[in-house]
Amino acid sequence: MHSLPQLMVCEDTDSMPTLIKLRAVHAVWLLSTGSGASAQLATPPPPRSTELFTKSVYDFTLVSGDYTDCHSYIVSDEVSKSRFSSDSPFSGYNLVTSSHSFYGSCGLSEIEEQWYFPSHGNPPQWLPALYSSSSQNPPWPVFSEGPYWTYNAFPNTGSGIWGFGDYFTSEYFPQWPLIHETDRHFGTHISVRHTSWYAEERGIELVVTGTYYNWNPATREWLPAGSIPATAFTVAGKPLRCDGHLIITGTSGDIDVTPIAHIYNYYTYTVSAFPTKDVHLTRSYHPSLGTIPSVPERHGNFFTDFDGCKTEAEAAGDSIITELDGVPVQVEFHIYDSATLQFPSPYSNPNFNDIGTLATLTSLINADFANDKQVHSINVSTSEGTGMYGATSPTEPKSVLETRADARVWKHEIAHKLGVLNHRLDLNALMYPSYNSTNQNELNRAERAKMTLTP
Amino acid sequence: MLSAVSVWVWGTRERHTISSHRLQQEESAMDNSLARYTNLSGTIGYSSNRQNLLPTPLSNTEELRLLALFEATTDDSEKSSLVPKIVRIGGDKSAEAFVATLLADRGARPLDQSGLRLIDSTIRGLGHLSSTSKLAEDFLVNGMAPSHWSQIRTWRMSNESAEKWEDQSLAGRCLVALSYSRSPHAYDFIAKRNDLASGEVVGWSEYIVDATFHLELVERIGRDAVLDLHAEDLLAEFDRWKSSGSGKDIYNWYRKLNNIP
Repeated sequence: MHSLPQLMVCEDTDSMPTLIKLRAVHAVWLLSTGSGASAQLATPPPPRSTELFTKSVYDFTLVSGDYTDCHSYIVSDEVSKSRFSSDSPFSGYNLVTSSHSFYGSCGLSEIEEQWYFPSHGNPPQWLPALYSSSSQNPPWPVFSEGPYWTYNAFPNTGSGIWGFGDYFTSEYFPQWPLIHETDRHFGTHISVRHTSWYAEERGIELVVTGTYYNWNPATREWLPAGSIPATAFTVAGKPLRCDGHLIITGTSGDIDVTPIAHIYNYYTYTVSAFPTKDVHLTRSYHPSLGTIPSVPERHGNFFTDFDGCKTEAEAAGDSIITELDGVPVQVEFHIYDSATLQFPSPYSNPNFNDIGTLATLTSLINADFANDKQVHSINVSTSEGTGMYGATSPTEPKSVLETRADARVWKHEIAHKLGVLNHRLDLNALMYPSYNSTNQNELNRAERAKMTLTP
Repeated sequence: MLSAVSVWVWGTRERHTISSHRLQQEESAMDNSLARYTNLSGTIGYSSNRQNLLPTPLSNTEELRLLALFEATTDDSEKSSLVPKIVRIGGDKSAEAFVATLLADRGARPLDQSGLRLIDSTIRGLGHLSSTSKLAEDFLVNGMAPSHWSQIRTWRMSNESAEKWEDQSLAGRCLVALSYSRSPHAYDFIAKRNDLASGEVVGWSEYIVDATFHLELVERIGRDAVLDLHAEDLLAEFDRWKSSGSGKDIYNWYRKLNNIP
C-alpha cells in the first residue's frame, strides 16, 4: 500500500488542528535520465540531499498597556529542521528541541519548543510540534515566558491566514488584572532546502492537503469546516494538481513551498516533500554493435498522468483507484558507462548480441560487469510473440536491453529494478508487459509506493 | 539468484499502428475464432506423452484466413506478430508458408532486428507445427545441420562475427524448435551431446539447455499451456528449472563450457 494515503489520514485524527504539519518523507521521484556528460562519469556523484523545514517569525506588537518598551520583539529562527539524504531516507531523524531565552525590556522570556520526530517511521514523517505544557484547551501553542506570566496564544478572529502569516492576539496575564495586551503575528514558511550536485534543475514532488476552520466565538473554539480542494492551493506560485500533488524543480538552494489557499482565511495544511531519489546505473554494450549505443535522453514529467485525477483521500482504501488511476511520479535515473564499457569475454561472443536462448539471456542479465547490457536483439518466443525489448532481474538491478529500446522501455525496466511488476490492467500503464502505444506512461499509486520506498 | 524475470516484450498490438483497417478487422474476427478454438482445445493440461500434444482437429478455415493475412503483408514485424496465432491451429499449409518465408530471397542483405525476429519466429513456429506437420519436422531436422543453412540462407548478418555464428545459431534454434513438439530427434540429439566434437559442443550448448528445458516443460504442462505463457512466466519457469534438478546440472554444464561465471 502506498504511503501517501496513510500519511494523509493518520496525523489529524486526534482533533489537534495543528498549525503546520510536515512530513519529510522518503524518496523522491524525478523524471529524467542522464546522458551526455553525466553518462561519461565513471562513478556516481555524491547523493543529493533535500530537507524540509519551517521558518517561523514571531512579532510582538503592543496594543495596550504600560509596557511601551515591550513592543516589536522579533525573534526569527528556524524552529525545526530535519535533514536527510535522498539515499538514506530513513536515517537522520532526531528529536529536536529548540529553546530560546532572552532578557528583553519585558523581562526574562523563554520560549521552548519541542519537536518530535519518529526516528523510524515508515515512511518517516514530521509530526506536529508538541509544545511544552501544552495541556491547554484549545491546544494551541503554549508559551512560557519568564517567571512572570504564562499565557495562551489564541487565533485571532480577524483577517489573516494560518500557516502563512497567521495572526494571533495574545493576552498577557502576568498578574490579574490585565496589564497589557499584545498582538502576535506568527508567520510560518515552509521551505525546501535542496542541495544538489547537479547543475541543472531537479524535481521535488510536493503533496498538500488542507482543512479550513470556522471560529465559534461563543465557545472560543475553532471548528473544522471542511477540506480545502487541492486546486484552491498554490505553492511557489503554481497551482496544485487536482490530486493534491505538485512537482517543482530547482537547483541548489531554498525554495519557499508554503501553501497558500487564497480564498480561505483560517486553515491548517499538511505539506509533504519527496526529494528525488536518484537511481544510478551503469551500462555496457556488445562490441559487435560497433558504435556506442545511445541511452535515453532526459524527459520531463514522464510518469505523469492527467486523467482520472483522484485525490489521495478518494484513493485511500480503494483498490481499484489504487491500481488504475495513474499518478505523477518523478524518477531520475543516471546511466554511467561501466568500467567495462564493452562486454568482456565470454559475453563478447556473437550469441550474446543476438540472443536466441533463455540460457544466454539469463546468464547475461545476471552478469556483474554492468547494470544494463545493450544488445542488438533478444529473440525469445512467448505467448506475446517473439522478441523482447528488455528483460530485468527481479532481484537485482540488472537488465538486458535492445539498442532500439527507447526511454519508455528503459523506464519500464528501471521500474522493475525498483521492484515494480508487470500488470495487464491498463493498456496505458508503463508496466503493461507489451509495448503498445505512445500513451504507455502511467504508474499507479501502488507502483509509486513501490518505487519511492525502494532503497 | 534469479527467481523470475520481468520483461517488456514485443506486443502484438504494435502492429496495429501499421496495419490497415481491414487487416485489423480480419484479425479481430480471427481473435474471436481463436478464442473459441482455445476453449475447445483446453489450454492447461499435463501431457505425459507426445500423442497428447496433438491439437484438436479443425476445419482449415481459420488456418487459411490467418495464412492469407500472413502472406498479404510484406512487413516482417507484422508477419512475426501473426506467427503465435497461426501455430495454434496450423498444419502443413502453415508449415509451407513458414518454410517459404525462410527460403525467400533476401538478396544477401543484412537482417535488421525485425528480420531477425521473423526468421526466429518462423523457425520456432515450425517447431510448434511439427507436432502435426511432417513437413515442418523434416525441415527442422535438416536445419539442425549448420551446413544446411549455409546452402539455403539468403541473408547476411550485420557484422562479421555474427555472420560466422549465424548458421550454428539457426541450427541450434531448429533443435529448440523441435523440443516444442517433443520430437524424438530432439531427444536423440541431446542424448548424444557428449559425442559432439569439442569444437562444436560449445556452440550447441545454449540450445541444448533451452531444448532440454522445453522438453521437460511441455511434458509437464502441455503444449498449449506453453503457448500461453507470458514472457515473465516463461522466464520464471526457466529460472526455477535451472536452479534445481536436471536443469541445474545441464545449466551448470553450459556455464562451465562457456566459461560463464
